[in-house]
Order: sequence, then C-alpha cells, then structure tokens
Amino acid sequence: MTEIQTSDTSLLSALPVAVYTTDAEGWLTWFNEAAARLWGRSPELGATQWCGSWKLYWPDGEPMPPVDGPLAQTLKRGEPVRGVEAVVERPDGSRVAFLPYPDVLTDAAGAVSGAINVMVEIAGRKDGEMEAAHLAAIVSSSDDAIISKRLDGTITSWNAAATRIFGYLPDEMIGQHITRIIPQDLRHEEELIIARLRRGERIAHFDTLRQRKDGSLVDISLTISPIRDRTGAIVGASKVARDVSERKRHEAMQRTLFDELNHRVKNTLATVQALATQTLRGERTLDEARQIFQGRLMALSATHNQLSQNAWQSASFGVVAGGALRPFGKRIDMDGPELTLSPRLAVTWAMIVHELATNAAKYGALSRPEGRVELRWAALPENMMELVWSESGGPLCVAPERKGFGTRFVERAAANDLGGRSMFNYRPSGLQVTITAKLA
Amino acid sequence: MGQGATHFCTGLRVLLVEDEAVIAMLTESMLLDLGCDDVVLAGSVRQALRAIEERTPDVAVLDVNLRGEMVMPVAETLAAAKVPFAFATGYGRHGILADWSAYPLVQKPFGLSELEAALKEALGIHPG
Repeated sequence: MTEIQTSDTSLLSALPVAVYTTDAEGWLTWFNEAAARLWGRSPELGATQWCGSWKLYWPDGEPMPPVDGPLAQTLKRGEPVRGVEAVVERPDGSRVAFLPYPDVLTDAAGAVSGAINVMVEIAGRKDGEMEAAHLAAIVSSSDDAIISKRLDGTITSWNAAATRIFGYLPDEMIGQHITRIIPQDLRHEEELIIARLRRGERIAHFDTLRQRKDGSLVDISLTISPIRDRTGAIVGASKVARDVSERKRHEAMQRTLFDELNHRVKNTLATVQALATQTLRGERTLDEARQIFQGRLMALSATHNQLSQNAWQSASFGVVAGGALRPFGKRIDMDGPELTLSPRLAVTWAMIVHELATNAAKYGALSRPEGRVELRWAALPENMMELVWSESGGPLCVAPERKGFGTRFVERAAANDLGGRSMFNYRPSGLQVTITAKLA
Repeated sequence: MGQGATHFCTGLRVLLVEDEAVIAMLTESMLLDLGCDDVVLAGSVRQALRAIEERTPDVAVLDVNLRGEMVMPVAETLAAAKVPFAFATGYGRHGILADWSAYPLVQKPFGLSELEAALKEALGIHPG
C-alpha cells in the first residue's frame, strides 16, 4: 500500500465507511466519523491500541482481545488479514457485526509506518444468512415432508422427511415432475392446485393420497403456499405434506369400536326388551313377573360382569353357569371340565341355565327344600359340548300341558343360538334336560 | 300388544333370521300380532339358505350380524328371488348396509309399530 498523507484523511473522513489508522505499534492516529458511529464512542488518539472499540468479540460471542484482532495480526505478520469477522460492542450494549479490511501502511522507503483498517458492517447480511440457516435447519429436521416446486411442477427441493414418507431420495426427485408421487386417478388434483396457486391462494390441510416409491399409497394432509420472487410474481409452490396414515388408522379403529359398542348396547337392549315382554306375558301376577324379570336381568348382568373382567374376550362355562345360578343357592351341584365360551355363547348359556333353574324353582326340584339339582357338562368331539341337568327330590314330575317361556326359550336357544339341540325327559323322579351345543 | 296393528301378514310365510332366541321369540310374537302364524326361524346364514331352498318365503326379516357372520348371502338370495325383506339391526345404515338402501331397516330394539312400518315398506303397502 502506498503511503498515506495527512491530507488524504480529509477525503477518508467524508467516506460513509468506518476507517481508522494506527502507527506501527498499533496506537490510534486517526479515525473518521463513521468509525466513531460504529464503535459508539470517540477513543483517545495515541492512547488506544489496535482498535477503537469498547469491547470486541468473535462471531461466536467469545471475547476477542484487541491484540488478537485483525489489525494487530496484520501488523504482526506484515500482510493483510482477510475473512475474519468480528463483533463490536458499544458502550450502550448494542452489538454490530463487521468485516475488517486491515492493511499495512508503508513509508517512502518501504518500511511499515502503520496500519489502516476499513470496517464494513455486515449486520443486515448477517441476519439474512442466520435466517436462511435457521430455516434450513427447520426444514431438514421436520417430521413433515417439505417440497418446493416450480409452477410447471418441477421439484426444486426435497427434505429428509419427504424421503422417509415417500421413499425417494432427493437426487431421484429434484428436477422430476411432482406427478411422480400423485396416484394416476388423482392427477387432476395437481391442475386444480396449480390454478389456485396462480391466483395466490394458499391451500391448507387438504387430505389426499400420494404414492410411495414402492407403489403403496399414503394418507397425507397437504398445505401448499405460493412462492414469489422479488417482484411478487408467483414462481412456484412449497408443499408441506404430513403423513396422516396413523391418524386415519386410529379414526377407522375408533369408528369400528364405536359401531361395535353401539351394536352391543342395542342388542342388549333388544334382549332386555324381549325378556321383559315375555315375562309380562307369561306370569300370572305382576309381583311374580317382577321377581322373575329381575332374576333374568341379574343372570344377564352377571355374565356381562364376567365378560368385562376378561376384556369381553371369553368366559369359562363353569364361571358363567355359577354366576347365573348364584340366586338359587348351593342346592345345585356343578361339575365339569374347563370350557371356554365366546361372549355370545356365554350370554346364551347363562340365560339357559337361569331358565332351567327358574323352572325348577317354580315347578321342579327347587320348589321343595329337599330338592337337588346336578349340573354336569363335558366336551364332545368336533368342538361340541354337552350339558346334563338332572333334578331329584322334587314333586312328581310330569310333562306340562303347555310349554312356558323358559322351556320354549331353552329349546329355541339350543337349536338357534347354539347350533345344537335339547331333550326334555320328564322322569317321574325329576326332570332331566340334555343339551348338546357347538362350542364356537 | 296388537291394538292398532293391522293383520296384513295373514297368510304370509315370513322368514325370520335372528341368532338370538329370546329376540326371535319376541319378534315372532309381534309377527303373530300382525296376523302371521307361519314364521320360519333361522339362526345362521346356512339355516336361512336351506329354509329358502325348501320353500321361498313371502317376506323376510334379517338380523345383519349373526354371531359375527354377515347376513348378506341371504339378502342376495332373497333379492335374486324378488322376495321383499327388511333388515333388523343394532347397527346404523352404513358400511355394508349402504349398498342396500332400497330395503327398509328397523333399528333394534324395535316395537310392534316399527316392525309393522318396515314390513309394509318392504311389501310396498302404503299407509292410508
């Protein structure tokens, strides 16, 4: 660099760029107004070394000792230091990032006589870069696919989530047409989307389907915004695609559960309605009807309790029969192997044994204190089972002239609900009922 | 029961597909109130198809879910034979039933008047 003359400083003073000079030891010899503005102070000439700033930092916020600063290094090495950023802190606490351009000054003989430093503020530029870096970090770490495309549909960016959701790598998709991930029968969507984008509209939470690299479909929710250039013209679009297949699955499962619950409740109500109607029709007095209806309802309820304890999956035959027969006390002797019933069969069996016991209490063995019932069950081949209900100790048993609800129900349920059959044997010593039924 | 109900089912053979005996018995007694004394009961798709094969009913009432088995094969057979029918179910009209909107549906639990309305609709008998 050529020698700088004192007269030149008037020229430099007028520059809007911060400039200062030092002697060969780095002591400030001169600075312009722009430098004073940048520093936020007017340092004392000859008493300030290397830099006129109040405090200096590296770009990462670590303090920068002035002796390590760019101008000090330039003087030390005898050649300009470039590309080092620094941050100045003013006495009022505000900070400004700048790029220093220090250089050595030489006298006529070529000896180092001092240094000059030009400081260019980079605050504005810096913010833009930071923002871009921030956005890039958000895009790459997003769980949502973020894709940008031109208005002609050519893909211009493809983030990591897009790769995870659609299976294509950025290299496979950038430069390709967006229709590559749109299923054949939904291609018309793209035209509609582009038309709306051209009008400057934003499309939010548009639920649709897209196709993965392996050909499978994925449920996504799309949000699409126009991208404009500096003049405001729409030049493309950014698409944010959220994988909602998990949500859709969840919704479908909830619907199924709700339907199933509704079905069960309605069916149970229908059963209760049928029991109430039949009971009112069949019994002689209202008081009797009330008592019998309550017993039937309790048998149904006991089975529901047992089923709900087992997550409504299954119930054991012995537990179901025991629950339905509890109101009849210990005069029913039960024995049989462990048999697992589906919820539907459990409910039917509970009602069957309850009806058998109700009849026994009204007309059979359980109408006398000394009467007894033996309940035996066994598994039969081909996934069938058999139940034998034997009464003894009751009044003389004869076949009834007219079958009541209980008997008709047991016959119907065995044939209809259980896919089997029932046999009523009115032995004089007591009724014996044999029921064969499917186990599933 | 029976008051106000017309005996429009007199002389009709009704196929009742229902897998729960107690509900079948109630529906049967309702059908009796509507004048029908010829009810054929079926508790499964197999039983129902066999009953249709033996003798085609005049009208049918179909429970939709028979122990997890859907009644649709029975509905298809009846539709092919031009036998009118109504669905009786705890489910609403969606899912598979959406395709059968031409046939009336009675929601469980139902009373006599609901069953009467559904059967009249199935048979094309218009009130008044």
